[in-house]
Amino acid sequence: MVVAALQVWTWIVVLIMVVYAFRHWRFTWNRISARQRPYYQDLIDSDLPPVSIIIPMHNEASVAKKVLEALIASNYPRELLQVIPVDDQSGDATPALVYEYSQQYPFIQPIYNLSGERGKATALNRALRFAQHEIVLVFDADYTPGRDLIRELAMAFIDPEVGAVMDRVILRNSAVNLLTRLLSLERSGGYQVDQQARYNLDLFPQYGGTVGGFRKSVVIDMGGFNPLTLAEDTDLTVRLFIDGWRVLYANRAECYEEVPEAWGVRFRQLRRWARGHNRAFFAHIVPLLRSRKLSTAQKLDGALLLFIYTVPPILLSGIAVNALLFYMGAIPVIPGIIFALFVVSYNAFGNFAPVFEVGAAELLDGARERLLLLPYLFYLFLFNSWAVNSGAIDALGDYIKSRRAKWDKTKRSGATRASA
Amino acid sequence: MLLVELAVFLLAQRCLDWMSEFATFVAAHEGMQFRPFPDPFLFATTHPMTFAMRHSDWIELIVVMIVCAIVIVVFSVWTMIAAPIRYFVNLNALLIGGAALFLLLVGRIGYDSAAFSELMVRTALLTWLIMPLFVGLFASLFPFSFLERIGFIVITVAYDVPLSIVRYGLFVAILGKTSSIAMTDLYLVFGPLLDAIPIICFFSIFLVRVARSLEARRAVWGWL
Repeated sequence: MVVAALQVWTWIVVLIMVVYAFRHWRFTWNRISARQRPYYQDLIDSDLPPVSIIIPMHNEASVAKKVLEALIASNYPRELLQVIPVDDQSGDATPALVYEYSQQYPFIQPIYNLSGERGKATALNRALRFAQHEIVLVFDADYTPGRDLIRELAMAFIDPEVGAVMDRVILRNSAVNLLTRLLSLERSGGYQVDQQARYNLDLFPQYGGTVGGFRKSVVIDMGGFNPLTLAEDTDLTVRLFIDGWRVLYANRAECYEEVPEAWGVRFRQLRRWARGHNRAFFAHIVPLLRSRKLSTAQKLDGALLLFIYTVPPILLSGIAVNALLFYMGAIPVIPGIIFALFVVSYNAFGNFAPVFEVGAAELLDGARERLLLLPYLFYLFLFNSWAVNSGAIDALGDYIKSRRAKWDKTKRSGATRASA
Repeated sequence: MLLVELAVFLLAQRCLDWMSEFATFVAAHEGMQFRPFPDPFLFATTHPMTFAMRHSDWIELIVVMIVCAIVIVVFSVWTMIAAPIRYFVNLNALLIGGAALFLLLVGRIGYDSAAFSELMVRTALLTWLIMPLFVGLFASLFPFSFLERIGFIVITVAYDVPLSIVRYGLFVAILGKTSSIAMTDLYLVFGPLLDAIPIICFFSIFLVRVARSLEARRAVWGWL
């Protein structure tokens, strides 16, 4: 009886892997071979809308200058811009730095959260009260927007059905070490293929929260950002879709990000993502499936997206069950082999892009020798699985105890390298 | 893909014979007692074997468990080593320690040498049969030429055959020297999981070729 139950679980794990593999196989096929849906960047007839840009900052002195300089260098008319750096109880030179910029550039209007609650969602909610314009863009402090980025994101909101837009993130520090190179591959698969294919297929492109935009009135009507969550981006994406808004992905609008350069930092980042994402899963899966404003394909894709940080725990349970079955002398050979093949080929659990998807993304990006790094993605498998599992356990604890998660900020390396 | 499947179908018996011959050679070289037996499986007759394995007494099992626990603790806190390597070492220690605990509690692991040998041989045959389909699915996504497509599938399968043969012989030698404590780890970590890695290695090599050829044809990128 126990053996039969364990063997059935092995089959279920294999089935889940097959479903995800097929999903990503379809995305890759769409990106390589199918017609691509154009974005709005070719619209030239409209007046540019005024835009408020929020930059939540907590101890960001090492990177704040870069993002503010990039916004100053933007080709978007300054009279249409309001930049709101939110100093969220920083203990470093961040408040002084943003104050200095605000004295030189009147369109930079910082706000300072000196006490009380902190965290990204809270910072965004505070900043929304000060935002003067309907179109709001959010940049993480370690991101560097290109000169055209604001225009490309803002133009999407000419379409009245669009609730949010997300751009492509490119790594600024991809060549630092093996970890950053592998993260670059993961990101590439996640954006160049995954996000764009979901946009092409009118499925469930995700508002990423790190660089993107939304309509202020819509978010305020929905009650603002949920301070209980660590994944305010996933939370917002699902709520927008449930309410019938469209979320766009702008592949050609690029922004530059710094990723963790140390394994410990990456572990905590991934754990936080998994924690927030799994809480969003618990909170939204039922309303998503019951929404009348979504097609069946959108519901399915949305459910698979919400479920994605639950896959590593299931996968790890598959390995444990296989070990137990082996001890008991009852390992099923066929699912065992299929399981192993999928574990290896579907292992990039950072952004959940399988190897063939990452390969396609790199191919589209014009990479050559970098493609030889693909086998090293297996190197990340156990590490990512363990980090995501830890986050999933945290999320379960949060859900059961209704406790508030503490924001664990990702440590930046920009300053260290710049001074070196 | 179907051509390669057909080739596997035709050549599988010969490869299985080599597998069995190599394992008996290794066992004889190591001075182990062994006895091959015929095992009809699917369309082929495999020749797994019974071989002598050392018995671990309870003292040895407890020592193994303690050593594995120490390894797990040390590799959990020793941050000088890259995290993925530490997790990999810990997985192996966990599987070996778990097997020792299971042996201590139950008295035996579900597989004896004959059953393990049968599992290895059957796994090899099934992997050779599944691999072309799996690799073909990969290849179907990309603008490989006909020759590249065939080459990718053939090379991957052709690489896996000697890998399976050598690995099986090595496992027999290792288990002859140790005991069934290592069996679970050998199968789950260095078994079928290891077969899939060459797929990605060859895939990346072929993809570089495709990237180079696409780069030469600028018109391909016109739509981007």
